[in-house]
Amino acid sequence: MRRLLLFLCVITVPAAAQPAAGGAKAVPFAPSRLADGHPDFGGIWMAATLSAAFNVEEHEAKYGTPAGPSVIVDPPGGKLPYLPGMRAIAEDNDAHRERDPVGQCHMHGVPRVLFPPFPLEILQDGTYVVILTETEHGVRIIPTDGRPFLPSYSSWNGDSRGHWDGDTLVVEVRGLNGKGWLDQAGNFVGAGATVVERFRLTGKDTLAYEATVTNPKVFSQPVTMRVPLRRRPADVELLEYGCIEGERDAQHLPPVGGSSK
Amino acid sequence: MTCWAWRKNVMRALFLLPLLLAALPVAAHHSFSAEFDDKQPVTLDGTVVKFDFSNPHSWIYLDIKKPEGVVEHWAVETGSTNALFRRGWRKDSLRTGDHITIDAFRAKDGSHTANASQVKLPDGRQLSGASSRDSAK
Amino acid sequence: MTRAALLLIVIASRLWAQAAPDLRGIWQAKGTAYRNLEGDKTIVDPANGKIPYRTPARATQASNFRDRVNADPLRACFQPGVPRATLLPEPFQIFQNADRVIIVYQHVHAYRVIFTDGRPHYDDGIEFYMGDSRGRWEGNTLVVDVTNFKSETWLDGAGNYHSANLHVVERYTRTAPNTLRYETTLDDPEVYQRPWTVRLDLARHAEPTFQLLEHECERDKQGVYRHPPQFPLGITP
Repeated sequence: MRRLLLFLCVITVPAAAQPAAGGAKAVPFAPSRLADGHPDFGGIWMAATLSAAFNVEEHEAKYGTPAGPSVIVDPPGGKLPYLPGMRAIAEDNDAHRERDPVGQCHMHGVPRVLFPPFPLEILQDGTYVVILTETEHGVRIIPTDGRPFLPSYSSWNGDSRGHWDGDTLVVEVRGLNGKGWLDQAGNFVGAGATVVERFRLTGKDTLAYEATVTNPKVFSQPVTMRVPLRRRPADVELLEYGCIEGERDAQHLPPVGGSSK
Repeated sequence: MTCWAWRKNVMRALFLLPLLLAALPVAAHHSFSAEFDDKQPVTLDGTVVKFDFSNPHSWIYLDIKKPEGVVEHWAVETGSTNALFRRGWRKDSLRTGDHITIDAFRAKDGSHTANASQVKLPDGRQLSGASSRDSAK
Repeated sequence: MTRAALLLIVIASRLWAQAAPDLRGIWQAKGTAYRNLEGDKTIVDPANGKIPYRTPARATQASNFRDRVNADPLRACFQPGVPRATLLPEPFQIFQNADRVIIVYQHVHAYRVIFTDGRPHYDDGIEFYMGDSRGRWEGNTLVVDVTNFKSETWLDGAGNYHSANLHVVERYTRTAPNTLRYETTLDDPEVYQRPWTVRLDLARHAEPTFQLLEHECERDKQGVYRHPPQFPLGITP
């Protein structure tokens, strides 16, 4: 059946807005909307820079990856507010990057899965928001129907519940197993971490992503990261990425010993 | 108030070329440096035994004839299928019997394993191996 | 919002609802077809319920069956392939919007993106465990054409198999609010004498808070990937 598409956009201009003329304040971006009235995040996205995938803190060039700035906006100073003893674990991870669980074909975890160095796909169908990543054919299914969290769940990609705050999608994540890394440099969020994410379209092809991670066993305060995403060209599709099926490197790596946290 | 209708399948993406180039090589499924040594470059000149077009890495199995009739069996890793496919590689880009030359970096464990940075194809074309080492670009 | 805008939104939502039947939901096969497609009435064509193998291929299947404890790729945490993924004793979830249907399988969180906007398949230069899926709506039925298979998946736990030339056409029809009829034809001239068809009904998980769980394989100390013990394995013992 031929698909008939008629999506309507309605801009609600705040009463205080100035008309856009000669350098005055610009009209706020009005996203295209699905039939339920919510903004449409659907499409293929990727982090605007790969910096956070390498290291969420400010970092120099290392191991063939380039230097980059911090994506941490709170606390000020751009550093992860590790409790005493925790940074040493991250540094040990960094010295043993063969322990990176992504290298073992595990899903990236939250928030790392939102800034992989591969494209990801977002789809909304009214009740659910689905986020697919290429690597490890990773999946996050986010219901927005207000159902409760699973009790005592432990998983790589977490148990997520979403709701709308105006045009912002707010997602709470529990049930993370804490085994995942936060980036390639071995930073981590730890078992028991909870995350609150905020997704907001800031332009036709730009998505503001912000994640606040709370874990009183690892960090002295909640830490907030911001990684803008950019839409990929319309002809990009996700390709299947079977990892376990073709994994052949482990035999050449140093034995994976110790814990990564 | 303004209202407009637009067709969803005519998305105009902002095509940011520098971003695209930066994004293409994509960082590794695992760390290059854990397994390979970028201070041990090697040029491998040999015959393709098998080309495994797969994820997380494709593998080129190569036989290299050494003096006195010795044949070395090498396994050379390239980027993922996805990275290669987007660069124009296909599952039959290399066939058994093809004579190719690969610039690569040796594995740290001393085995006949390497990570490809450039592959020179039988028709003279050069293809980047979409190496995990090139995530810097 | 003006009344006109509200009216247009209502019309758009009706159009969206009419654009395609709604297959959304969490579905699951019952029965034991996952153990052996030839073991019950899953194969409806040919009428004898047997896969019409070419003679040498039947010998390969028999050898697979004898070797199944070691050789079944599902045990090694491979993605299950199509149609095996549909038959497994684990749920899967269908999401859909205007130009695509996405199916996420609980089993090793394999997924398929099925474009319904008419875009063509990839060329034959790339292969996928779950194949390359392109779909279209025929009345109430989603018809999915699947090509570009890797050969390293089985069709069930009994060693029934295919080559990389496999071509699958699936038909999904919601015959009742909680029933999805799944009818699929497999064609592979290298392995089968002729196309053959399976049919089974899938039941919807109607419990309001039912959800897919994360089924992620883990590597043991010997470096072998293993399924978590809480999930049914979907193989033939």
